[in-house]
Amino acid sequence: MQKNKNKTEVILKIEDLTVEYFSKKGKKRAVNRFSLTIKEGECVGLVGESGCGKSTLANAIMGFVPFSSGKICLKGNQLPLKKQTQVREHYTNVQMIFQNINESMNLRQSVFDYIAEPLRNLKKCRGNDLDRQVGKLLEITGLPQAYGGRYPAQISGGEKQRVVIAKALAVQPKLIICDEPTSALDVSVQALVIELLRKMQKDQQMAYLFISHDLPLVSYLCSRIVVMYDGEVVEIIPNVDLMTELKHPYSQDLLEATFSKQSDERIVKKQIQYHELQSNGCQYYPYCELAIGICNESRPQLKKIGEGHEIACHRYGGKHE
Amino acid sequence: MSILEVCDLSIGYGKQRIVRNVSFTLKKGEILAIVGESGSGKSTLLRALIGKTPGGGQVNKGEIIYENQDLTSLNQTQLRKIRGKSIAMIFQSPGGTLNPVRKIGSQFIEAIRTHIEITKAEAYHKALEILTKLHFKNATQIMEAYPFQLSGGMKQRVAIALALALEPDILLADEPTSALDATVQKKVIDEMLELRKHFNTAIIIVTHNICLASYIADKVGVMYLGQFLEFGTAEEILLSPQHPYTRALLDSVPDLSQKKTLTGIEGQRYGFHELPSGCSFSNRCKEGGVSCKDLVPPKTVSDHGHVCICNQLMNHRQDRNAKK
Amino acid sequence: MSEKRKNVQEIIFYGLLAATILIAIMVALANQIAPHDPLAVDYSMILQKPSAAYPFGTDNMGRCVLSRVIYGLRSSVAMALLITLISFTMGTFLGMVSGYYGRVVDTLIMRITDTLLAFPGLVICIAIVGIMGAGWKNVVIALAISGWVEYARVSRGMVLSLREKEFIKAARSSGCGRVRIMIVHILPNIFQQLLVIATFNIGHLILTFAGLAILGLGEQPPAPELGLMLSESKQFLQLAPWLMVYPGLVMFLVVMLFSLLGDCLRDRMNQKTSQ
Repeated sequence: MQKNKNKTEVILKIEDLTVEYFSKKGKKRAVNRFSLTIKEGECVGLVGESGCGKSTLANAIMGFVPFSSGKICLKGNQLPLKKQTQVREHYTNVQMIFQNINESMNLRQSVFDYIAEPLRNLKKCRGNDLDRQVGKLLEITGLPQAYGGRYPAQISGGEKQRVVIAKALAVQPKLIICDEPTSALDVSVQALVIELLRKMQKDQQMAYLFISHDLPLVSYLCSRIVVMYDGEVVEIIPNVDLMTELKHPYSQDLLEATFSKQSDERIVKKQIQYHELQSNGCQYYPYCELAIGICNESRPQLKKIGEGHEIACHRYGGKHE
Repeated sequence: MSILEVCDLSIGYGKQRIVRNVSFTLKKGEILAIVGESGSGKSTLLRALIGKTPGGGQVNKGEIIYENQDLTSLNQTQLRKIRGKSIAMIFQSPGGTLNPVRKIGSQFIEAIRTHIEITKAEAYHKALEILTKLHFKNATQIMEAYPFQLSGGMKQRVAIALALALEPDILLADEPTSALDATVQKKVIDEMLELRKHFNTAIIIVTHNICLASYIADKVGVMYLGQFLEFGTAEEILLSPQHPYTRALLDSVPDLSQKKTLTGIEGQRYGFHELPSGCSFSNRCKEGGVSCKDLVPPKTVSDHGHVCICNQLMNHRQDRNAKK
Repeated sequence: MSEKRKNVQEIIFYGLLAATILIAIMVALANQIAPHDPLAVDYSMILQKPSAAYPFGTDNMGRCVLSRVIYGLRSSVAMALLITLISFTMGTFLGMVSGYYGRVVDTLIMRITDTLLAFPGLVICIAIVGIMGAGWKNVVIALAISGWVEYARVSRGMVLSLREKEFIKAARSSGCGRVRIMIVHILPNIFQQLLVIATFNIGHLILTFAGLAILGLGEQPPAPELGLMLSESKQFLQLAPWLMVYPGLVMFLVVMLFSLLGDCLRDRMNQKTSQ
């Protein structure tokens, strides 16, 4: 963290972001008062279970989902985007790699056209220049040049994800949002894709917002880690080396739930108790083993408990310690 | 004492052989994990054990011996008696085994009464008993609930309980936790470990997660293109893998405690129609030689039953000994 | 599915396709193929049985039934294609706009389709033709008005599900505008399904067109038209059954051909998507 101090520019600034959905049961807050800043070349990991609002957040940053309050500012561009020029500028700064490899490509568009699309639209690249650029992108993502003429049905899952990465890299964005980019791939292929992402990041100094439910994977790629639960940030650690310092009960559950390559001990945990949640209490209260009285009464706020380490739990920081 | 013995089993669709020469034995209360990537034939193998090879698949060769009878020779009516009662199965999608429009309770009662002749009330009590044994806090409430009222993890736990309703000897689990969140996954896995303690059920679990496999299982079979390339105790597979594929697989998994570059496995696996005469992993293997493609790899069995099918095994051993 | 059954399906599909092309050629070259002028009246050859000179016999004015069937088929097929083309384009366009833009546009277009769906199609046709007068142009307008609804509803539904797909998001982040997304990314992905509906509809339209002619709302005598021929042959049913049998049979075969073709197309598509 210290070495990042030499005035790196902030790329993404999210303040108090709230995204709401309207369903039959009424309003549902997918993301609640979420704040985050990402600096140039930084890798931020966002961890949380399915349905905790990770993907909604990604879609909100991309401008696909409207948000009800708060601020998203990307390189001086404030969302929601109004003018067409603004939209163009936004997408030259941020690109996204999607989770569902089978849906992230148009089945009736060739690999070449897919990769060329952002170059055509955003960089006004044409003719030979376009061919050259797409060829270069295919090369750096480790795909044979002949793949340009292929269609999604003719290539494997791992290759599809490489094509998607190539497209995201095309406009040389400052930030790439990776929404569980490898969850549909086999581990052996996942490793290749992750290595590719890491290499790209080193070479081109991009920032990543890497969204995943896989803690080891996130810790492998990212420096700062944000743990999200039910639409809210519950813990932030500034450095992966502090992984073992994760203190929030949910983070700890996550840590414990990962199957390690080394440990062979089977500590079967005691049964979880299920508490009834009162609406204004801590979101994790029903599943928390360490809950105390106040957890059911008021929602904890993010508090600083160390250099860059923030946590939203009544048991840490403040008078309840 | 072994309760299930699979000898030299091969399953094919037409001319393609999806599962090739798989052999293993399962003891009472033992957990076997079958690890493999998508398309390795692991699910086909598991389904074949209860005589349900999907879509036109056929057992070409080999035997599945359970209680002194060969399951491959039984007809569907005979198999139906064994299915559910002696060998039960759970699937990947949580609640895929549950009928969405019927209450959990009535599904339990039906499952129990198909195999045992007891009254509805007795079946109800039996179901409650199982749920309480599996630490369901509000068992009566769950019996009255519909599947959609339960969370994903809860549904999978109920599905496991349902599979165990008749106290089967063997539980087959096809990727039982891959649709669940990490924290829930751990809880379900832990529960499966505990129920093994309670009922002494033997479990065969199919998964793509090698770390999960070695956590839960006593024995692990590493499957690639329909073959067990390596078979041994969980500890051996995890800590001293012999086959290059197992090693490559382990090197692909990121780990919290150690920061090593992930290597992954380059290239495409062979299609089932274009398998070479030699080793099926030869085209992606980093450690293999030129001859691997054509040379049929020998099956090496160590003194304590660790199986590895590789041409280069002897060389590797020498290499590593030399390093030491 | 077994290899054998797949092959049989393949053969059936190409057979149907060949038959369709054959019919297309036949109606396109009606001038050359028809043995006689369909309108040439010859009172010396009234109600002749089928013979070498008149393979389908002659009618009460001595006109060649075969020639009239060929010409009739031409007008039926041409009409069906024209109507399909109009309603396909209009329906797909409105459906896509409705599905992609949503909100007010969607509500407006969907309420119009609801209104049109509330009436049986034939009733609308009769009403429109009744107001505007008989004749093929008005029939085309009438059938196109009631025909686009189906395309609109189906394409809207498909757009709604496609809109949420990740490749659309990918396209948006590549800087594609709405029009480009609709034309390049959505249309090619829904075109096949719509084509299947169109194939089914062609057969259906041939029938409707004939039905309107029987009611006296479509083509007017002495034009060679299958429906008209059927209607005129009623009085001679016992005397000269070939007057009814041949046009009826041809119509039956053509309609069935398009239905089967639609079926085959749909099966082939399902196979492709499930693979």
